Amino acid sequence: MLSIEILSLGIGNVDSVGCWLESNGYQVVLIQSPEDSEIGRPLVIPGVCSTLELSKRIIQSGLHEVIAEKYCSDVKIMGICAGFQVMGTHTTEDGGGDCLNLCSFHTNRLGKSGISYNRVGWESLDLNLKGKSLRHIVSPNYILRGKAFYNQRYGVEGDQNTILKYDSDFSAIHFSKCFLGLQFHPEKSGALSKTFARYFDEN
Amino acid sequence: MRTRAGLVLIYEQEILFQSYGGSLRPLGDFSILVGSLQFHGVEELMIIVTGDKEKNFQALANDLKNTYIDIPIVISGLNGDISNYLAINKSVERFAFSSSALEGNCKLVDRVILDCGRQAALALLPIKYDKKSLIYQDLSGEDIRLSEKDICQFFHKYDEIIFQYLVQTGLQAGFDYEVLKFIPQKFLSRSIFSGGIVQSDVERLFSYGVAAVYGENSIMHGEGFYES
Repeated sequence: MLSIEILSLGIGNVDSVGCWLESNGYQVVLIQSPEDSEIGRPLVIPGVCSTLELSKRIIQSGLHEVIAEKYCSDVKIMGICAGFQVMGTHTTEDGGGDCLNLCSFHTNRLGKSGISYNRVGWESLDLNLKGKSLRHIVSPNYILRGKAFYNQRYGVEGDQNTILKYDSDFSAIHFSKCFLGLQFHPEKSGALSKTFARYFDEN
Repeated sequence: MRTRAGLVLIYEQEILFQSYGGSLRPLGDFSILVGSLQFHGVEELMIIVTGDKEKNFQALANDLKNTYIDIPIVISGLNGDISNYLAINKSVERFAFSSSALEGNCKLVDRVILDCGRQAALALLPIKYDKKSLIYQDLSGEDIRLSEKDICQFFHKYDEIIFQYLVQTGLQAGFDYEVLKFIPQKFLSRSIFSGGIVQSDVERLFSYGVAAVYGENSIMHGEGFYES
């Protein structure tokens, strides 16, 4: 049984993500410090939290070095919502501050023409990734089709490695090295949830 | 189109209930419920915890840890208690505050916003109305008038507001559209409505641009409440 690490720093829907992975046949390992982690083990960084607060806790725990090492070593990492955003350079949330600076994008308040908005709800996904950049880590038949659940006030901008955008400027799916960043919640996306869990299976 | 057809349930003594004609009807435990959600096309689940809060929050936390639910969960009934929040916070996506929302200075609301982000904090307003305004119906039975300014302040603090029209909650009476008149148009996209909803209301309320519609009755009885 494949073991997958989940970042567990007292915030985020860690147990929801754990239930999702276990229901898809994985063993879950919660990590709170660098000592809990093994370099070759895939990692999920959950969302449902403030990106700035998550960034602070990751740095305080020393896990930023673990994440950086996994990222540079092409170990699979899935970042969900704030767990996606925290990989960027900085965020404007909660007064603004630095993130982990592993990816070149940044996080900003959702908005157009100076009018901010929130994004909560289900959106249809119909994405055939055959021949796309994900192909070397997932099956050639990896097709995302269904509805995904979004719940956000902030989004990722300036993403050079996005494979799906929304509202023209913001990134819904990011892929670089073996980091899959998802702005929506795969663990809460109904029938589509199973498809996303397959990410950890494919070679 | 984003549709968010949700379901409101009540949790007490390790059993889930639904409001039904002014009383509570037991639905059974989580394993029974989870198998039915997808079949009925439920896209969000709000669980209101009542009774002995400490005991029931702990029991619910255990149920959620042991049962995978693949749709977002909103929890209400915290009443400002930090220990109940900490028991449940890793298993849910959003929190709806009722009496704490009225107090306006609840430390737990601020804690939720800090921990989970502002998108995780909702207000749940049990309401009725008269000719002048919406009226918040407190658990103690006290009526509190809500001016348009009050409603705007709620939207300033909370990501979305659930307006639970108590007069028709648990009845298949159809939603009372007069409620919409008291809510500024610009906030409808952040408003969730509940109370007496029947199938035809789901589509009609979405046509007004509302954020979501929550039913509380009939869905588990095969009346074809939602399109699946």
